[in-house]
Amino acid sequence: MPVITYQGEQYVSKADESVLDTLLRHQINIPYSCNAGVCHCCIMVSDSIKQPCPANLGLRDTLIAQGYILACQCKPTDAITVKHADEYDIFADAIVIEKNMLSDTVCQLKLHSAIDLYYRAGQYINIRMPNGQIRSYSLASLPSYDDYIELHIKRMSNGEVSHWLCDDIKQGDTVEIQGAYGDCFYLTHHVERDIVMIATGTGLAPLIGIIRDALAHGHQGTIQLYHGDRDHQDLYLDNELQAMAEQYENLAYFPCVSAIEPATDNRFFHGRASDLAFSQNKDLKNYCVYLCGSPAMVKSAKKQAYLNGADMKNIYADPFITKELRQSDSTTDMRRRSSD
Amino acid sequence: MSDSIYSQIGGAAAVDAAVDIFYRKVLTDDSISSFFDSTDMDAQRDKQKAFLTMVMGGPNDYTGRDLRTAHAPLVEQGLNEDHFMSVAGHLQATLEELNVPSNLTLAIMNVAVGTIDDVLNR
Repeated sequence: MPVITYQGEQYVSKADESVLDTLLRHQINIPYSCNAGVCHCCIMVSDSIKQPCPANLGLRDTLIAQGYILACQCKPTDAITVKHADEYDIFADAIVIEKNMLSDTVCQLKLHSAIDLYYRAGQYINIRMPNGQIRSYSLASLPSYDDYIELHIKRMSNGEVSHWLCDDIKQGDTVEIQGAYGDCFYLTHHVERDIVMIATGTGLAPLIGIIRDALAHGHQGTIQLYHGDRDHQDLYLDNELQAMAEQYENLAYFPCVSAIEPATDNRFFHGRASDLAFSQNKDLKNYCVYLCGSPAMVKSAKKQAYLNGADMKNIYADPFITKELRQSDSTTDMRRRSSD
Repeated sequence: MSDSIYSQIGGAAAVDAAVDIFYRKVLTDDSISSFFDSTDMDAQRDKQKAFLTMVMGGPNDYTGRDLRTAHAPLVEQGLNEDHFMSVAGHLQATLEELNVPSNLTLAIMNVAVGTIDDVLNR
């Protein structure tokens, strides 16, 4: 079995085992999150892999040439030496320029990156806490319009990083960011297509960025946005989206609440956002479908969108998982990223 | 091979046309959909595509061993001959929906049904 050398020590990997899994099995503390080659948290540098291969799929050419790999995707067949990625290549400082609570549990952060951050609205970045914990957050800002990057952070009950960001971080503080990543964004050649978007919780963040991007490109097709959460108070951009839908003829906004108590305002739809979206859109042939939010919603909505006729390649999904889920579920066949 | 089923049926374009019809039929059949309840639908659709390419005689690197290994966990979950025949039925219905000539459909179904022992790990 191949031997992995890390910090001068040698570790024997099992058959078909990734570098990440081998090191974790030996109680080496390697930062990781999605274990699916998506989040890039476990990026490392190898001495030997410098050609494009599954171990570095999705990394920039410049990083591949330097031997960067994703430890979770690298299953060595020969002896390999790995080390931590040079941090200055990967993480950059960003200053918190504004912080607002958008609801009781959702915090809006606006950051100035110290280096130019090239991103598309709807992609996500990783944030690293001083203690090394890393989480992914979607970008709600639009690079061509906003001179800051915007994140929506949901404070999770046991979320270490989300508590830190929502409660401890102050305007003027510096955080470390990495990115941007992800393939859930607007494509300009879809300017005439009709779009259905479904978000739960802060899954709204990437979609608001994508909507602004589409409108800025003069999108011709219709855009329907279904945002669902438990209570109407959780629909944290309700007023803004309402105003946008009034301003743009081709944008429709459907706020959905799933709580048992009927909403006080009859403007809110009662039930799941995805149920409403699919009952109103039974034929999704030639549509683009964007799904962001809880993994359960994304999984079932992806299937339903496909069954309603959407092409698989026109379904853009951005599931995030909670820390609790990540610990209890080790499946790796799902494209996903983590939120705190 | 100009006279292979694959080229007669229209090659990769035919597979592309068939895969979504087939996969949607399978996903909506409650008696078997749980076996296809994957979180990565893209990967699973690619597998369906590889399978259809194989049964249509197109270029593939499918082996009996692949079929055995891939289906072993499903057999443990109770995958049986009834399930297999349901999937085969959806394949046949897909080919008929696409107006594939009956002699080609028969040849394709023969290849598909011939995988039963590998799929069921018998």
